[in-house]
Order: sequence, then structure tokens, then C-alpha cells
Amino acid sequence: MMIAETKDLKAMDIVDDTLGDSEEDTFDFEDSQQEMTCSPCANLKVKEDCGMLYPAIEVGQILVEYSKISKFKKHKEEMTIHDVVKELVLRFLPAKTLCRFRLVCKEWNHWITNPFLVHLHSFCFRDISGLFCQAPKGKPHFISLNPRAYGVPSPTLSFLPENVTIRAASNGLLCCQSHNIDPAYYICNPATKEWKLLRKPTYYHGPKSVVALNFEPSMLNFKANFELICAIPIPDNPVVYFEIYSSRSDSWRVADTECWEPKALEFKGDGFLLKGVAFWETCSGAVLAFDSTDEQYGMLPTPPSSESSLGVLTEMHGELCYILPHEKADEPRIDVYGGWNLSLKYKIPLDSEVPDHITGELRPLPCVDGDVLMVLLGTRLCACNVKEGKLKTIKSNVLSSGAENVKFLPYVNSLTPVGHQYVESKDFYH
Amino acid sequence: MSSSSTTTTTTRLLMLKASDGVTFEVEEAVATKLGAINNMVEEEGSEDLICLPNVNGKFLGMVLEWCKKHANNNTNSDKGNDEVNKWWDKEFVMDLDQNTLYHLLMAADYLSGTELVDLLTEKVASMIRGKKVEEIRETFKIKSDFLPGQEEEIRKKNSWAFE
Repeated sequence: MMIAETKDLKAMDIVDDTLGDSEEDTFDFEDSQQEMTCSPCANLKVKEDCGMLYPAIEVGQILVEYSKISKFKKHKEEMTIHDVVKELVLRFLPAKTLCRFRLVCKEWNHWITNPFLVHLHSFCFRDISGLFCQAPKGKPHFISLNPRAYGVPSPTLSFLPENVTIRAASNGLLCCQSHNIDPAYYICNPATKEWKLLRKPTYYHGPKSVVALNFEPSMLNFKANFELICAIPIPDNPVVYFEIYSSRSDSWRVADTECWEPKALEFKGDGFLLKGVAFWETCSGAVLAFDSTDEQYGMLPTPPSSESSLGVLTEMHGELCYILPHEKADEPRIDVYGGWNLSLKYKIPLDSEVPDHITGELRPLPCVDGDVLMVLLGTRLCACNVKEGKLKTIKSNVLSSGAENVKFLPYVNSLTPVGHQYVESKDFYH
Repeated sequence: MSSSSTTTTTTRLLMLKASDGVTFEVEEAVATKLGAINNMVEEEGSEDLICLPNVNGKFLGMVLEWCKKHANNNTNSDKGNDEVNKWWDKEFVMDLDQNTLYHLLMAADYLSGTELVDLLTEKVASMIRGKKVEEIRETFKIKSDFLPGQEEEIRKKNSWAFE
């Protein structure tokens, strides 16, 4: 008897797993969750997890559960490739493709506009899709790495109520700032045109302050909570303060930590987040790292000879990396430093692959997709494989003039909602 | 250097029978890379023959080939092996024709081979992300069921996605 019961228990666990997968058409997460918690099989699982050996359950009830199992199992067996693609593949497609695929049929349209798919998408889709770039005084502009798959409805961000400067990006969200005397921060998703105006911070964030956006999608981050971490140098004082906006509490807080590092008083530009730590490159050959959770900071030296060059601090293979071009050497090459100590990882020679007639400054971009680095050669966007050491042109004339002082941000074409949506785009969720 | 208990668990053999009657004899450690088989093994106890009426021999063989590779590498995992696995996975999906790929994905999903499903969905996603709506309908044999006007309305509101 006891053996029979444990046997059933395992079989029911399978049902639990298939429940979510096999719901058809309009899959309602709330409903299915309720069903799972109400059904005896879910209770069984909970009890088992709590360490109870054999839950008290009538044999008749088990039989009922068996019929349920066969119903769901059969369902899964009957799934066609169309169902499998809808259930499993759509969440891995970029926002532009998904918007287009709404037109495939009603069922796909329902699923693509379902908030649960949107949540799954922010979690599953992480491909670098392109770059937002902006010249000083110019409008933002989007360069797609694959125009048929990756794109945004409004590359100049004209859906925002005022003109902005792009500041930072994180997993599909962009942080922008208005041009006023007292500039305001906006967080937006350029794929859905959703945006949110952040309330005013405590400190004045002057032109020398830098930001980093922290949005880490996870299965549990349902509200798509994010943080904006700002490092604020204080004029005439050798100190940097940190002020952090949290969408969870919709408020700013000033960190207790003050940074009195002589090498961290001026920054090259805005930073980015990696594993919960914000990184900014300073103008004195160092990197300032700040963890917003425990409010501790640390300093790292950048590789030698990077002070005056076009090196870029970014992320590769989930680690910190520094990409440094050596244009004027006898053999032009790109060096890639990586890891927490920024040690030399790759030396990429750039000889034969660069046609003679292409000239212009070589500038690595903060955009790494697996083993592939994006670099600008003059106004030409090229992909450079670190292992093969080859440059491949992706698109020519991506910029109207030189890349000097143009800001570049890596962008993920995600449907991520902007936490606590103040303004909901009527176009997408119509 | 493994202890006697691990030796017995790794060498236990299971018979898997596909829908077309083809049988495969595989080590338990290989077959249990598949969630569904793992559950059945725990469920059935001493049964060594498992019938899989929804997967045919060709695709079951391919799924098991993947499992074998990944089960072996799990026993002595290090960073180098990770690289080898990635390379092997890349080769594994590289030359699959569309039909095989889709059947393999369905088989992997049915057998709850989570990692293999991830690998295959990534491949399918990269194949279809640039496709047109008409191409998707043709590939997956889907008929448009929108009412007159609905289709145009969605297309109009998302015109940027069709450029």
C-alpha cells in the first residue's frame, strides 16, 4: 500500500510539470497557479517537500488524479510542432519579430500580447540586438545588427515628451535624461514605447555625474524592478557620493558610503552593471566598482596605455572586460583584457581582413555578443571574432560623420515592461 | 577510482522502446538526463523496459546520442569540458534539416530533456527570427483565422515590425 502511494506521488509530480506547458490558447498564469495550489496533487507535492513521508489520501482520490494525468499526458502527446514552437520558441524571439508574428494567427496574437509571455520574454531573450547611439547635440539613433529581426518603432525615442540624451542601458531598458537646467531621468523601453519619469533625486546630478542602470530579469522579478545607480562628484571637493533610485520603493536613497579616491574624481562616461556591481571607468586609468546592496566600493586599474586611447570597458562572457585598440602599432591589433583583475585574454591581429581602401579610426564598442566584438572602423560597423581574429563588415555608413564623442549603448530587443507602468503604450497592448 | 555503489548505478542498463519498435539499450545515467525517463525509473522501480509510444526510433536515437555525450561529460566536468560540450552541441544542431529539427524538438520536449530543448529552441529561434508572417504560416501549416479587417489593423499598428 505504501509503495503504491509513493508511486502515485511521482506520477502526479509529472502532472504538475505538464500543467503549465499544455495549457492552450489564452494561458492564464493566475488561473493555472490557483489550479495547482488547489488540486490535491499540488498539496501532495508540498507535503512531500515538507518532509512528510506518506500524505493521508484516499485511494479513490488517487484514481481521480490518474484520470487527470492521462488527460494532460495525452494533451502533451497530441501537441503539434506549431504548439511546441508557440509554447517554447516564441519567448526566445526578439521584440520586432514577435510584433510581426502577432499576425500569424489569433492564437499567436493572444499569446504574444499576454503579460506572462512578456515576463518570460524579458527573462529568456538576452541577445544583443544592436546599439543606440547619439552624437553630441544630435538625436538618438538605432543601429540594428539584423534589421529583419531586431528593431524599435521609434529609433529617435520621439515617444518621450522631450528631447533626451541616452545615458545607460540594461536588458532592454534605456535610461535617458532631458536637456533642461534641472534634467530629469526617464526609463523607457524603446520596443514598446513605455516610459516612466523618475521623481527628482535629493542631490543635484551635475554634468559630471555618471549613471548605471540595473535591471536583472529573473523568473521572480515579475514587476521588472530596476535600480538607477548614480555616482556624483561634488564640485570643489575630492569626494564622490552615490545616490540610488529603486523602482520597488519608487524613491531615491543616498548611500552612506562616500568615495574619497583621488583616481575616481572624474569619469570617462556612464557605466553599466555586472552581477549587481556598477562599473565606471575614470579619467585616471582606473575603474570604480560599487555594489549597491552592501554599498561598498572598490578600485581596479585599467590596462596600461589605456588612459588616452579609445579603450572601452564592457562585459564579455559574463565577466568584466576591457577592449583596447592598438592602431598605430606596426601590426594593428585589438587586445582584450578580462576577468576581475583585467588580465590579457586575447590579442587579435587585424591585418589581411581590412581592405586597404577602408580607413578611419578603429573604435571598439561596448557591445559583445559571445565571442564577437563590435568595432567601428571609420563609419563602418564591423564584427570581430576574438577566436578567429577576423573583421567582418556588418553595415557601412552607420554614422553620418566620425564616431568622435558619439555615445554607444548596447541594446537588447526585449518586451520588458517598465516597472509600475505610468504610461502604457496603446499601440502594443491594444 | 569510483566506489562500488556508484559503479552499480552507472552501469545499470535500461531498454527504451520507440514507437516503431526499435529498442535502445542505454546506461541509466544516460537515459535519466531526460526528466520523463528519470521519473519513470523512480516510479517503476525495477522495470528495465520503458516504452515510448510517442517517439520514433530515429529521433529517440538522436536524443540519446545527445544524452550520452552530456552524461559522460558530467562525470568529470571542468571548464575545458564545458567548451567541448558547447562545440559538440553546435555541431549537433548545425546541419539538421528543418523537419528533423522540429521532430527532435518535439521528442526532447515530450521526454523533458530540458537542456536539449533549450539547445533546439535556440536553433529554431535563430532560424525563424527573420522570417515573414507568410513563411511562418507555410512552415507550420497555420491558417490565418482573423476576421476581415483585424489583420490590417494589427499590421497598421505595428507597421515598423514589417519594414
